[in-house]
Amino acid sequence: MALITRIEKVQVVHHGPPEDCTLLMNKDLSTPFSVAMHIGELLMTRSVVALVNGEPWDMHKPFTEDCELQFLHFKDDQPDIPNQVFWRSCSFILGSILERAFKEEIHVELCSFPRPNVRSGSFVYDADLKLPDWKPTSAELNCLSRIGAKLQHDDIRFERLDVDISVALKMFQDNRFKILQIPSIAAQSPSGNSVPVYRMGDHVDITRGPLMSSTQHIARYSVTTVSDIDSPDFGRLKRIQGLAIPKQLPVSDA
Amino acid sequence: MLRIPIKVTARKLPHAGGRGSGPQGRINKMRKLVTALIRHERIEGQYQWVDEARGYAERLILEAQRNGDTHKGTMEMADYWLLEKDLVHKLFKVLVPRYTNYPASFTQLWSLGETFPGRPVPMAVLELKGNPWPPVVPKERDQRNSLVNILLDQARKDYRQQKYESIAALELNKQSEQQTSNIDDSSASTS
Repeated sequence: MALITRIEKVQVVHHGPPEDCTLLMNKDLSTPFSVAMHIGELLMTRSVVALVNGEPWDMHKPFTEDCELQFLHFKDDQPDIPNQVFWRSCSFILGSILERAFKEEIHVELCSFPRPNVRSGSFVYDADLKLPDWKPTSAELNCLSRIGAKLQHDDIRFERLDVDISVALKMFQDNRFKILQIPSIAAQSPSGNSVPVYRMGDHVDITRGPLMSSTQHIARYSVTTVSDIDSPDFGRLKRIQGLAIPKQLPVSDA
Repeated sequence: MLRIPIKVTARKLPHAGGRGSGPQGRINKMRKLVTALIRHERIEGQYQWVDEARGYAERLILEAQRNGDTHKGTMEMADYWLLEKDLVHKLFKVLVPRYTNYPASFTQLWSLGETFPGRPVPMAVLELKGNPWPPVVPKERDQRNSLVNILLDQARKDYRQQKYESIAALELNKQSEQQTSNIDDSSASTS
């Protein structure tokens, strides 16, 4: 807030239901979510991700220029972007579960998660659990799943921040995988030395994004398998897989 | 030639203009319905009334389209069937241009089913095509790419793949059993 000394306006043209409209919003402050707040509660609750000038854009990422805006949700005619965003967000949440769930003496080092692919049937997180011989029982998997499923009641937002490479290296100094990944991630960014970092509650992770607006979209969340993999870059890791269903697409559990 | 199927004989509507109103009462009812249809572009009523009025409305628009507003007979017909005279302008200036090069009928009839409770009366909605109202039947969503359906499709595919593999394995087993039994027979016969 202190970084913005003078508030400027941007023109946002909204396309879609309930009607097309044009709004004047604050540059670097207003987000697609604040546009949704002006228009109606339905857009606030059901929108997963926004489309700004044709690019997927986080619901809580401020506008930087005049733009055209659309809100996407799971029942669109072409829900590919919301599906991918949901899958990526679920991987992100899986990382936070792994960091939270284990006892303090087990230092879990998160490695990475691959590009979201819904057709594979599961979202993935690779991590070094420091438990080489651990075969999880169904009760243990259930405990992990419940941490994720409970998030739907908390309505925690996913917030994006682009930090400098030096700050990122400091933030993730206790994670040997992330330290190795940060330079290549920074090289891909448009400025060449910024790293996209997302926050959900007190969990922070690096991902290209975008992620969904909040954890209230989750209806069902379950961690299904933990298996061993050999990564060519990082050696022996655990691959944790899970499955989730959004609230907008109810399924019967009978 | 009208673009909707109609019966050659007029439908009997004995109480259309009230009890005892006779044939003139029926015609008056039809004129009211045609006027209302051109005015509001979508009307609701008893199925037999709006279905009967549909033919008159189609014919009126067709004549207006064919003959234009300089034809005396067509103008008299429009004057007779449209009780509110500003609608004559709407007919020639709005509807005729809307339906130029139009391949199908100008109106659409939707059945609403019967009234309940009480005496069952079949109801219907009659509308001019190209009207500004929201559609009667909402557009169906394409749900094939929804997240749940993608997951289910993929699960179905995997299940089918497993089935095929198990069937193939069974077939292989059977074949190998047959071969072994053949060998036994031949060895038995030679010995």
